Amino acid sequence: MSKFVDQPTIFDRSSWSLEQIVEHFEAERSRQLRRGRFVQLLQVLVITGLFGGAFQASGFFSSYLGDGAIGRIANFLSRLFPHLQPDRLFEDRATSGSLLYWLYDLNLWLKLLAETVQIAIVATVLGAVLALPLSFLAARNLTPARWIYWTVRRTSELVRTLPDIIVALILVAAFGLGPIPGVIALTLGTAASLTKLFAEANEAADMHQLEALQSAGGNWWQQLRFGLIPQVLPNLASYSLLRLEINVGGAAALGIVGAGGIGVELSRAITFTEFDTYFALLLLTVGLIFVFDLTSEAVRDRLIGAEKAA
Amino acid sequence: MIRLLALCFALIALPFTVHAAPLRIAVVTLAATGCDDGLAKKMGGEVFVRHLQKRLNTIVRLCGFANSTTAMQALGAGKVDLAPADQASYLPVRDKVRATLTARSAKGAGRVMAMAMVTKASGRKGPNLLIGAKPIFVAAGEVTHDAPLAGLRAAGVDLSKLGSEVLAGDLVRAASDLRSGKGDVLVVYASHYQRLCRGDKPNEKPCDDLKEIWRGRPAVTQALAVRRDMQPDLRYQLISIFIAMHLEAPDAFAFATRTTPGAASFDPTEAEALVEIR
Repeated sequence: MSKFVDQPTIFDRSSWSLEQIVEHFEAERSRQLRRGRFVQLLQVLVITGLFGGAFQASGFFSSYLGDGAIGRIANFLSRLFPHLQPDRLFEDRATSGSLLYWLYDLNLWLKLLAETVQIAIVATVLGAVLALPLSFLAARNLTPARWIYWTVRRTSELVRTLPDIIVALILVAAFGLGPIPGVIALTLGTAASLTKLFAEANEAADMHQLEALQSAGGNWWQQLRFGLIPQVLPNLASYSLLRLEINVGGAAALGIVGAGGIGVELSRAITFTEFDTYFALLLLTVGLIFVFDLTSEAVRDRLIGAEKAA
Repeated sequence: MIRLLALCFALIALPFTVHAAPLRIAVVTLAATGCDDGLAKKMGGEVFVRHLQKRLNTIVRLCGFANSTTAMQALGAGKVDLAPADQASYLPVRDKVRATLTARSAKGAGRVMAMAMVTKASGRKGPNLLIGAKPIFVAAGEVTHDAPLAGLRAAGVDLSKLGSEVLAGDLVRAASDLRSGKGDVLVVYASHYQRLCRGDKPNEKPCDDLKEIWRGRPAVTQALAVRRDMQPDLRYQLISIFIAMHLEAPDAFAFATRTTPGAASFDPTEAEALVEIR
């Protein structure tokens, strides 16, 4: 008798013994595991092949520039890190290997960092001030007319699709070098993104308070001012602080196209291949963003905490 | 750039500016204490005062009065800005003060809006012309019968002069009873009115042959009152704070509604809500 004759088929499982059920389950499980492993292996092979092809096509390993990818990376890293000498660390600016030699223009950099912060703060505040009224028009539950909602939403989407750096590049051509093009570019980006975030916060607000004010005779603005804004203010402040953090980084980058701030020096350091200077500026910028992150996080927590405690 | 920065800081600081005038709230205590900074602590109303101060961005003081009559007189005289009122204490100063908020009970119909409708052919024009008219109600019950009747009474209708009541059993039959002349006036609450007269399609007017002769709500027994000359912005601000108080600050809400047990939330109310017969 064939071994298949003794084994019940899938259609007559009711007659299976417990051992048969377990045996069948184990067999089925092993089969599925084998199939899963095979598919995974196939995926790894395909992805590896694609990576290999991409590296080859991009000339990563076979570039004519220098001595191969690993060598170039090592060369870049050696030029990126400052060659500080422990015994000369606190010597004057003229001594190679000292901290002051590495940070040779620290005063200017700090001044430019301050300008970066100013650009970020001004752009965030102006952007938030612009976004607030627009968010009322872009909220489904508050807009006076559907076409206004549609227009504001689509316009803010359009502005959001333009990278800040491209807008700044255009504005530098129009206004000249300096922080003003940076402020305008970031203000536009901030207003567009905050309009969307504020509008969504407005849409999630409890309408009962607005209806109560409407029934008491309050006009549209009074309903918003006393019924809506107190509800959504912690959210709006939180989104604005988040945007401020983003704008600090953004303002640093905008200097690369001449829109003021630390980016001007970053751009100069890259152009003149002063990679250790570039690293110093990068550290200062990252440090600044850390400080901003921590501060705004504390303010945000306080705002939300205060709201919960109230 | 520095000027722009200064402008931005001024904009940020704007919401934190403190209003000049403190808000004085009358509370009924065993003895008149006047506006006392320590009263909130003595009465266990610190959370309430703190919540209002935070939301209004101004100083809030509780002022103790022996009863609501003296509290309302003080409100009328401009010595306090917000006071608890009942029907008796409101009437003597009704030309100077108005009801603004009332506590909604967790149980019962509350101040349900009701309507009275007649057929256009009947020629009746107002609730005062309902003498002898047979009212039709959808059913007996607090929302469908008692609250609309209380509303009619507040509108000045002498309920004893109404004809015999018709209890239709359902909304469609109630409307049909009105049209067939089984009763003279259909009295429904707001939700039933919506269902009956809104229609399923745009421009559909199922109640085109009917005429609404009254809509109103029952009077309240207690309310928070303010002066009629209070700045509308401050009144709206107070309304929005009290409306959300049960959610934002339940302890403050418990203090604000300590004389109305079972209150679930605050509702805004019309100026003359405390007048039993208007």
